[in-house]
Amino acid sequence: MADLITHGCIALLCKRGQQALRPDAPLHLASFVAGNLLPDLLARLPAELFTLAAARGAFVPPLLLHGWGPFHIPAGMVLTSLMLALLFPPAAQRAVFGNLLSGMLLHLAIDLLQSHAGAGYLLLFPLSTRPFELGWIGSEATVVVAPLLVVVTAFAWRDRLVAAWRRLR
Amino acid sequence: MVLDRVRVPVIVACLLAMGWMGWEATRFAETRSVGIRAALRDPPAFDGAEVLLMMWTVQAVDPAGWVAEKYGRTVAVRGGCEGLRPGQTVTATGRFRADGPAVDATWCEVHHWRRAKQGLGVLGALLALATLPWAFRIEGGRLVERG
Repeated sequence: MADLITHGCIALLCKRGQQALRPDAPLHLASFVAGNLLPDLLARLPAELFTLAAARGAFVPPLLLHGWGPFHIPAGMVLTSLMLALLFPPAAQRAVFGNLLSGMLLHLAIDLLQSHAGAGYLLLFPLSTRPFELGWIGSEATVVVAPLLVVVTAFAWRDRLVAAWRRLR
Repeated sequence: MVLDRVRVPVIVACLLAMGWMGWEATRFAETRSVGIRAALRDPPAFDGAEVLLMMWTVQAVDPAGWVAEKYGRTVAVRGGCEGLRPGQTVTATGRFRADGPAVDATWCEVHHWRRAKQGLGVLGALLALATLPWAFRIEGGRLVERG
């Protein structure tokens, strides 16, 4: 997986691009960015925390180590997007579902660029356990890209950042 | 969406489906043929099998090889990487040996930027957990996007 800073910046830049191309279309920035961040927050974060606990000697059932994986595969992304979209008012559900799911799929697309020694991602789980990854970049390649992305993203969204800063003052 | 009228049963069904997939994912992770966990549970059955140690931590280094650790489990590894230090994160492939048990590594990669990536990951997670709740509000018992 790429880090959440990289994922978040790419999601924000995509939405800035959409806004530039279709200024009148509803942005749904929050849903798209949330969708982009949720696969790691729901799948990786708890798994990492329980792995840390296991490494320190705590008994952790295997389900708590590996059971979060479906949040990071397409089938789980569809179900998660559907569940979350149904929490919104009916008029917004379709747009929220689309933005959540497209954010999640963008997340997966970025992760697929990485190489994990062939372990890859189970794109068709639970129908198939065949892993897939493109393996075009190393698993830590985004570390050097992230600072640059933060600067570019802050520049692209400078109007909102300035407005938020003025509100705070 | 038309599903709104039956949203509670739909959400419950989705949660059950996610739970079942989580169970299946766990079963797969514990038994996949390239996984070291299955090999460590039944060493004779996996003697000579190719295994993958994905993002394991170097626990100790000795002249004969090194000890990898993950999920509280450890395995001895022979060969693969030169100049390893305890605490480094490594991905390795190799042949599993039932006597030991141990792994004869044929390929190995040290993740030198792992700590930096973990740092970015933690920072990103904290930022996300701090900002995402602000991006939504509750109105009439429903979530609404801000902005």
